[in-house]
Amino acid sequence: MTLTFIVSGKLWRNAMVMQDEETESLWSHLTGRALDGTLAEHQLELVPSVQTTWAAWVAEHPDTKLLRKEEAVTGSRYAAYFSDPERMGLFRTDWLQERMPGKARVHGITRGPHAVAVTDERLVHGTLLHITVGDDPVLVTRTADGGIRAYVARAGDTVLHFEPAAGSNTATDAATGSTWDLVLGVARSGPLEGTALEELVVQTAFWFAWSVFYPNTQVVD
Amino acid sequence: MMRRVLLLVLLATGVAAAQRPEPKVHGTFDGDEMYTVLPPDAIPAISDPQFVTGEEAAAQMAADEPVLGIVHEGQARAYSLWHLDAHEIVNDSIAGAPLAVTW
Repeated sequence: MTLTFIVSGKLWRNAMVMQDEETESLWSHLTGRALDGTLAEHQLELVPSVQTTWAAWVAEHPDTKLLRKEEAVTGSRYAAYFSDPERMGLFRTDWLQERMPGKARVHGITRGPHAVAVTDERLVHGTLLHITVGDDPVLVTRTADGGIRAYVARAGDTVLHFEPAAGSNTATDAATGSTWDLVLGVARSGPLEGTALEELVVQTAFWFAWSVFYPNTQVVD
Repeated sequence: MMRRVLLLVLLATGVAAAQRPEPKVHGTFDGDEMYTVLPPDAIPAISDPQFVTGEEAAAQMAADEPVLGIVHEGQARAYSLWHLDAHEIVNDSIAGAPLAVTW
């Protein structure tokens, strides 16, 4: 069944709830899981995406398509909400206030029961951050298009440690010396040429939201 | 048999915060209430997405305009987040795979 979604007008944990037109089940857009209705407990597959600026994106992806605007849009209708550090959703939640400000942006990664939030400040351009999510070694990086991308840093049984290499979005791994494209997660040359890393979904969120969805999250800052 | 639907996820912003609701509790899930703040479809999702490229795209965008970007099946697509503020969901597809782009 292919589903078509509308905005339900409901909020759960201060985040948008979608409603599918086919069954009127209600879905959390952050987790992709149905909470209510005949499809309750079904899980949508999450697909990696990035948040960045238009200039950075189009410079790296000149053939990109853009969702056409039906009319001019010259700013965010929620600009005042985004910039006010005291406004955190509509409803009070038990977010983890002691750890960092609620409006701090984090880049969240989940794997099974494990969750990690990397602060935005930790991921300057070119950073090759090696972390562990659950049992898996994970590379987190900010590529030239401004996006945060994460990969399982393993090829077969070999754990990979990446170092910067000449060229944009390029790294070599210490174990084999292969050269990797960090946008695609694929080895371009060397012994592992053609090997693709498993890409993980990175979700950029305000801390007040992430820490309610994933109260056991680790923080990397 | 349910066909798998792809979802592109983003920021949990509580962006409906610009509206002042009369909240009603729809139910409680995993210990947290789900509130009804607007009627269904009050914020209209996009279900017939159209795309532009090149100069036509550039003319619609500011350099510092935030976008959601994806590279899927070799195709790059961008969605203005200022644009998505007014829609929150795009029912899109890439290479035959249904994809809900959400904000």
